[in-house]
Amino acid sequence: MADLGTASAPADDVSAQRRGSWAEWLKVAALIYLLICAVGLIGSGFKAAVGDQAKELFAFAVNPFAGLVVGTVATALIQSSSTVTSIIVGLVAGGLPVAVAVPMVMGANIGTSITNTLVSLGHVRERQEFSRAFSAATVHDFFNLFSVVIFLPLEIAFGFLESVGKALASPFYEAGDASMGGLNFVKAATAPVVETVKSVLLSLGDEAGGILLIVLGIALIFVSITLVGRLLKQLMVGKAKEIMHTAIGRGPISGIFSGTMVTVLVQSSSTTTSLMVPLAGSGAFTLRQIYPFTLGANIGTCVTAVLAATAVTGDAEAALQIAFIHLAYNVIGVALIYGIPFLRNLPPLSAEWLGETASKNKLAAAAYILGVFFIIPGLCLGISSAV
Amino acid sequence: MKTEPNIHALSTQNLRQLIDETERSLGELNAELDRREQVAQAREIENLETHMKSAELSLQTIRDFVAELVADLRGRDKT
Repeated sequence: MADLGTASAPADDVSAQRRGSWAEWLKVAALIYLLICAVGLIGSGFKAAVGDQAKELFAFAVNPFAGLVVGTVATALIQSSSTVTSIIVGLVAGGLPVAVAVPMVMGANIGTSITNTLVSLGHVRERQEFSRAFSAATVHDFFNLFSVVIFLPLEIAFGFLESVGKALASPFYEAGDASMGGLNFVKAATAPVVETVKSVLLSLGDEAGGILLIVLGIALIFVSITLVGRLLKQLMVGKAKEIMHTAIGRGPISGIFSGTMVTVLVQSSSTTTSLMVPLAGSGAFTLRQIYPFTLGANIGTCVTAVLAATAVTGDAEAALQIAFIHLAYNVIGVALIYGIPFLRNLPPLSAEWLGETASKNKLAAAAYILGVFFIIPGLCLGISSAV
Repeated sequence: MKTEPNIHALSTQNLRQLIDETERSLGELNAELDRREQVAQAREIENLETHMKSAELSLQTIRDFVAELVADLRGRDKT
């Protein structure tokens, strides 16, 4: 009897662990379902509240610099590019013009890099460690800033990304009933919830109900992305370890791929890029070694918006287009900037210089963060709205 | 005390041999350096759970940074 008891105890532990793990995965699935529903709520709310006036409402952001600033500051404040891009997807589905949304998505890329920069401040006590950590964090900032410098003028002049996004999204909607619109099981699964909430809130009137739907949608996106990020961090840490182990000593392409995969697994580019900070701060990884991981994080984070765009109501094709624009912007950005040796070296060289400067003068670190993420965007917004 | 060989007195064949040996040694040293670097990296990745915790942003991080910044600026004023 005693033997039986001791033998069954570890088996009980294993089955309890499995049950726990299943429960966690069910929570992840429920939160992703909630996220997709929330994006649908924003789209419906925006359409109901503004009708055909979306263009007029966002007239201030027709200036691409204003859109860029809105995306940067919103993401820097919320500290989640996935949340902001998902909200943008919902707004586009509700009528926000894609051309207005493109600079916002670019701004979200810049804004998200504040998180790992703030995380690097935790290494401030040791000068060399702080220099390495701050460089590791700001290499992501510089890459995103250079990316905007290259692609925003191209977008203003030729609508380059808008065309790429359209080309990628249209095959899903061109084939009539056999298209995504006809056989979209995600949309079918989320429609009952979205329609029920919509009918309840819109009974208060189109404008009030629409605004309530938007607010509820934003709150649900924020909560679901935050919680899913926390859960996936616990569930995926083992897998992330495995992926990172296999990338050691295998060169930059493997690094980019690993960064992408880890970000898809944890559903947060901030988590991946922030994780690079202590790895570089300890001196085990050089700046050039962690640089490809951070680029991969930019690509991996696009999955959330693509997922969210699969089930929106309203202008679903435009929603998928903006999600693909985000993906194309990051993939082409990595291919171009990392592919050309001269451009490839600019972000690490700038980050190394800034890291060294900030470690000697901490005021430079504070001035950089406030300047790049808040003061310069604020000034740009002020100037662009005055013009 | 180690004495350096007089390279001018070495025969061409000996010089080539010395270069080969040096290149081989350099290759071995670089390989050992790479191996050690990879071992250190693998060790850091093994501590990923700890790093994930330290990579979480907290208000305390910002407070500590501001305190360091203020101390730094006061120190500069005194000097």
